[in-house]
Amino acid sequence: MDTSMVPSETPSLQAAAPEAAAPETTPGTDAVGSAAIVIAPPARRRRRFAVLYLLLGLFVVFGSFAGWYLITRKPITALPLPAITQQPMPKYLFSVYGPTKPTGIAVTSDGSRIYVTDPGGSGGLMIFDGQGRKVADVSVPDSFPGDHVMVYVATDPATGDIYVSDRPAGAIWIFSGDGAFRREFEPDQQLNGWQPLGIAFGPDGNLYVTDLSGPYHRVEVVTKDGKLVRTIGERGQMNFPNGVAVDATGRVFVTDSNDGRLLVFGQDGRRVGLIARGQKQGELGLPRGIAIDDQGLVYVVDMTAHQVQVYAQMATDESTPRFLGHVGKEGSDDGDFLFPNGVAVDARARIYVTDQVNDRVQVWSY
Amino acid sequence: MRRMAILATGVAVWLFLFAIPVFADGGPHIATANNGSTTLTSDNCAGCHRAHTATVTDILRTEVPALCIVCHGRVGLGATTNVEDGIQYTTQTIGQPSRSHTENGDGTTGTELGALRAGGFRKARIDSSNPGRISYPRYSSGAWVASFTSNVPVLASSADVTSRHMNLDSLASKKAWGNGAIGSGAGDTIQLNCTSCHNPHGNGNYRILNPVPEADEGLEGEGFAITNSSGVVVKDALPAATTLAASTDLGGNTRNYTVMQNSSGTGAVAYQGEPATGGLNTLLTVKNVVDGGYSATDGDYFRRYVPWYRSAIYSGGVWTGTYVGLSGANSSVKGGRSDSPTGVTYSGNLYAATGSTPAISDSFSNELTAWCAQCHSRYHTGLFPSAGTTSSSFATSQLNELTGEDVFKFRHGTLNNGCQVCHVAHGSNAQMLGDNSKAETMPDGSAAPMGSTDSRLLKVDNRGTCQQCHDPTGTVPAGFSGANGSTGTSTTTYYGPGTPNFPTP
Repeated sequence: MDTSMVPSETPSLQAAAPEAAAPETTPGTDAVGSAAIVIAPPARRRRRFAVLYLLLGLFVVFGSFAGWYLITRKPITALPLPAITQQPMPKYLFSVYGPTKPTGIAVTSDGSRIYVTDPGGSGGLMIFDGQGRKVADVSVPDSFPGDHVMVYVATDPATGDIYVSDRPAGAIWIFSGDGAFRREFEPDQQLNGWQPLGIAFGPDGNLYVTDLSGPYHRVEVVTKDGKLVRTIGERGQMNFPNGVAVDATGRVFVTDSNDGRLLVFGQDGRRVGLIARGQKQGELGLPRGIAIDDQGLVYVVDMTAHQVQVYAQMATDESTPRFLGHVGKEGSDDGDFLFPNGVAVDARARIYVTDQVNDRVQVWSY
Repeated sequence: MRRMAILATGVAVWLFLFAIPVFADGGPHIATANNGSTTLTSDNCAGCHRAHTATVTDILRTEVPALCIVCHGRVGLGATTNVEDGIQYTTQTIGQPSRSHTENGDGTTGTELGALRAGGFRKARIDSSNPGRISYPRYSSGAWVASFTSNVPVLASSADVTSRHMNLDSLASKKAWGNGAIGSGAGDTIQLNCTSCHNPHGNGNYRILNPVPEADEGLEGEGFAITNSSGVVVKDALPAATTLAASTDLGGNTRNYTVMQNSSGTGAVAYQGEPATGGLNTLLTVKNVVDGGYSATDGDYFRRYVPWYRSAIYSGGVWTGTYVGLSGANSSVKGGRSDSPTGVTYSGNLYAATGSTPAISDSFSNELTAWCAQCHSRYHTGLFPSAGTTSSSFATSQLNELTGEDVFKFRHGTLNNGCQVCHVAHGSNAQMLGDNSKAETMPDGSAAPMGSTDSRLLKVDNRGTCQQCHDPTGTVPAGFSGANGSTGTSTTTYYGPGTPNFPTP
């Protein structure tokens, strides 16, 4: 008899003996009556119930957990996900008004003095204190006739003197940190007729000067007493280079302005790095001023992008400075730029930018 | 495996197609080869344009003229032309002796090659108070007469302009005086920008000028002819293509000249001999010129003496000559008034006219005038008279009444006296302080844009441009050399027959 076809009886009615009991007959019937109900052995029944209880229990547990999660879940950002470290960008601090169409800027290491050229105004230079209050106007003495328009400025870290390039005069003038005229910078005879534009001091104490005279634009490296040390750049390599800066390792960074790119030269004068012109992040349009802070971060003013691009310190095996971010956008509000031109940094990680068409200097800080 | 390979390939292709970076490079507009015609590449477009995110019309990323001034501004950070102050910076090779400012006459050194002929939009360096006038003997109608030539020196330092073609700080609409059909009033209102006149992409034209000036709005195109009361066409309809195209590329000799003439310096002086008697027939060279000896390809610009003077001579029913001060046999210039050339033949000219075919359409001076007349159309008195016109009617045709016109009824001749003889293109610092010269109103009766002392882009103080060429008194002797109103010098200025400086055959 196929006991599977026999409905099982309730457990209390099932026989307890493990062996299948012989079918029982009902009293008064024949020895073999109609088909009897087959009851599963007790052990199997217990297993089935056990599984059932287990499943029910799991359902309760997981269901409760799901309900809890749905009710209490948070955005994923709240979770401490492993993050890629991003270089923070400086924030706008304040503006300094006074110069007209300022182009060049330099600042003392402690930020106590800000030097800004004023080509759209007097053609001279303005000196501000660290809070942006003007302390002096500087100009070339009348004993030097002709047109004078100061363009770019650099501070001598050794003496505090300021060196200013004068476009029409084709000269560099030296003033004290307080603005007292010292002298004209007199280079070697072989640099007669040069057209100095961008200027910067290197860690070697030499002056690095972008030169627009013929036969081709380049960078001259000269000592402070005017001796030519070397020339950087080849024929056709640069087109109106405006800015120059030198990092701690002696690499020379030049904004090749009209070619829309940043060139990096090694100590031997070979080009070792390049930021090309383009529309991708970090690429340039019309780079002008450039500065390098004490952490090696490179700041390049991209005039037609109305921004300052920030790049990481270049490793020795890198050929392209890594782009970190940018500062500012086009406009006239605080923190916006209109045709910015020059940039300088101080030891407090403050960045100073000549916001040319907005007639101001903007100060940013981390 | 095969399916996997196909799938992998499809993924790779997809990644390739959608991951190519956009190579729209940045940078300023092309700046090699004279901002000129041969080096345009797509590499440079994104310096000024953005295809989808531009903030300024013409899909520019930032506005003009500020965009132009970042290079062509006061400090010349990206170019050798400073159109704010009207200065040309030099591209002199290092190691050479520092330049002296011979144009300024003060001997200072520096990077300034000289003054832009067009002046600047904020300042200019036109020595408008010290124009030079030189008279020279010219044989005319059987007699020696005095004829004049002129030069305007360079100021030692830039001075504020008293008139300008455009205000860099405010591109407000203004009148294009003389624009429009005959009888249409003083002129139409237009708005100018740098790109109205210049092509920032570069072309082969002088000063990268557009073939036809294009105002931002409101300019009525030129295209009509002007006929005088005698039925003679005094100004042909100028087709839109009338321009400064290749014909102005005169072997590089005049294409990029920049610097204003000087009043000092040296130069050979000859005279115009009398051809009927087998005279020298030597062309005149104006004395006070400076030729720095720069070659045509020396840097962005070079200096050569190029006068403003007339070019074609129409005499005896024949066009006989055109020259614009080129080197070689015709490096001289002929100056003076344009209304009395008679029976003189000049040979070896670059653009020699032949018979009844005028060559003046190729003349630099007339080309420039035609260009200006695209906007100032009713100022133009004639491109070329009809063939067969005699010299007398030729002269008359320039001054004839413009029939049907109320404002610009009679005008100074412009044929062979180009606009640039008297005017500059960007701005002038000339002073109009004289009682008769100041307080002039504009053709519509309105006040001048820069006040009573507005100089109308003229080069000489107090309308002195007239005296540069004209002597209505008839008393100025041949051989006079000096500033207007001065007595001139004595021993070295007379060049007529019998004088010490009269060259012998």
